[in-house]
Amino acid sequence: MSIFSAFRRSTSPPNDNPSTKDADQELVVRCSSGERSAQFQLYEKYKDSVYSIAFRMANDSQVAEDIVQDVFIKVFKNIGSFRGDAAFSSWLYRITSNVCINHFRKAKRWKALVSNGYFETQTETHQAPDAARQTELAPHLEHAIRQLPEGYRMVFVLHDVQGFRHEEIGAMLNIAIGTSKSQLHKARRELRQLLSPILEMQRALSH
Amino acid sequence: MTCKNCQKRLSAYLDQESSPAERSVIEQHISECTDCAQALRDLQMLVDQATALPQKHAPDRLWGRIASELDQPNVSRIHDTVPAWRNWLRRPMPVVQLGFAIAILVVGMLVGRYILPPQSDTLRLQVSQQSPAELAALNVRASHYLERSKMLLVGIANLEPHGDERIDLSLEKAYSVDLLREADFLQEKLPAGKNERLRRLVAELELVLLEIANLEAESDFEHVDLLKSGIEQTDLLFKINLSGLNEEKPAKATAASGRQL
Ligand SMILES: [Zn+2]
Repeated sequence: MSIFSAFRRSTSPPNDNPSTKDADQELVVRCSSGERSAQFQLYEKYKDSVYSIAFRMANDSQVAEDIVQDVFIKVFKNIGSFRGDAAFSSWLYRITSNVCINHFRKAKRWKALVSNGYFETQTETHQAPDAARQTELAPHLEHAIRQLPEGYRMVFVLHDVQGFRHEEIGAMLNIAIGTSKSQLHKARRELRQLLSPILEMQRALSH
Repeated sequence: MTCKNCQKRLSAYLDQESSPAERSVIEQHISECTDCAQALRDLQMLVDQATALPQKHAPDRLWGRIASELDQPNVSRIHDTVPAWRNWLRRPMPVVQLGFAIAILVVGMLVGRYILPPQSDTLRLQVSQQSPAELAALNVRASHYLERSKMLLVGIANLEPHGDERIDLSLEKAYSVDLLREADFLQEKLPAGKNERLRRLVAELELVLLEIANLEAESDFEHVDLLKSGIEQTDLLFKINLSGLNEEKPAKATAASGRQL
């Protein structure tokens, strides 16, 4: 059974390896004096991973754009308070997850929760994959991720899709590492449940 | 090892988080059980596929929006950058007490929502048939309901209003209304005679939830005190803890509050 346990981590987000950290640090210093080109460079470097998180957390691309905008505005306005003892990327992603959480809290304001609108969304990204791609798993997976409860979804997106480690996620979401792990396990189980019709169809076709 | 137990542990097993003992039990089971072996292959494939999902690209127009907002003079909002529920802890007294309670509540809600299955119509359809698997799902859902209710009650038990302070309870109220809907659903679906203690507990909780839901959005400390002593007298938290349905480890916030019993 050891083939199953040989685990992988091929992709990872722009992170805190030493050279990245130094380059970031230099940009951060220039950003704190308001240098627009340094801001642009930092933005360019991290925009796609921030957008990917926001996109998979939000239920539409418009909201994802708003989140990204909000994140970078906060980053640049508060960059003077960034101490530099941790990696810039950790700080950035903590802000990202925080903006996502705040966004959901604000948007729903618990009222939606009461009025049964909680898990309903109505945007283009939420549509089920079209028939031509029925047997391809990825679009179904994207769809199913959006059906996960938000908390699970956050940890799943950060860990399995974006490649963060539990230690990083714990720091970002201010939760214990064990909590991050158990949320991830629940998310995966729930995903398998959600995708079971597709998985069965795939199996039937491959026999 | 039962299949249910095995499948619960497979994701951790994949991530090599299992102890050596657990590991060998799982491997033993999988070598004999095609269902669980399939579940493991499914999980591995899901994780691989998730890892391979492409990075999304931020639209080009976004930088323009950001740059123009940066050009506008504005007050910086440093507090927005700390985790949301931590903000509560930074408020001055006496809101700190309330803040702490609400922090617990909010974390509870988040944790609750992590573990609460989506309330889709599909789920409702499924449970109306009530096969053993669906009954099990119903039990899990009931335990989530209890856990979330516990979070709410712990949050309220931790309220420590001062003097004539008005307390904003709109969050708690909204949360109670949500839980009441869940209680309704559970009472309808939980089969009679199967688990009477659970049914009684759900019904008892419903009363307290109703009380919370019917509070005025802004309540004075007398109301809150009444509610608190009500929670204490009914021993509800104790009963929830005893219900034996709490498969999940207690959430961090509950443990931290140290007051639930
Ligand atoms: Zn099995």
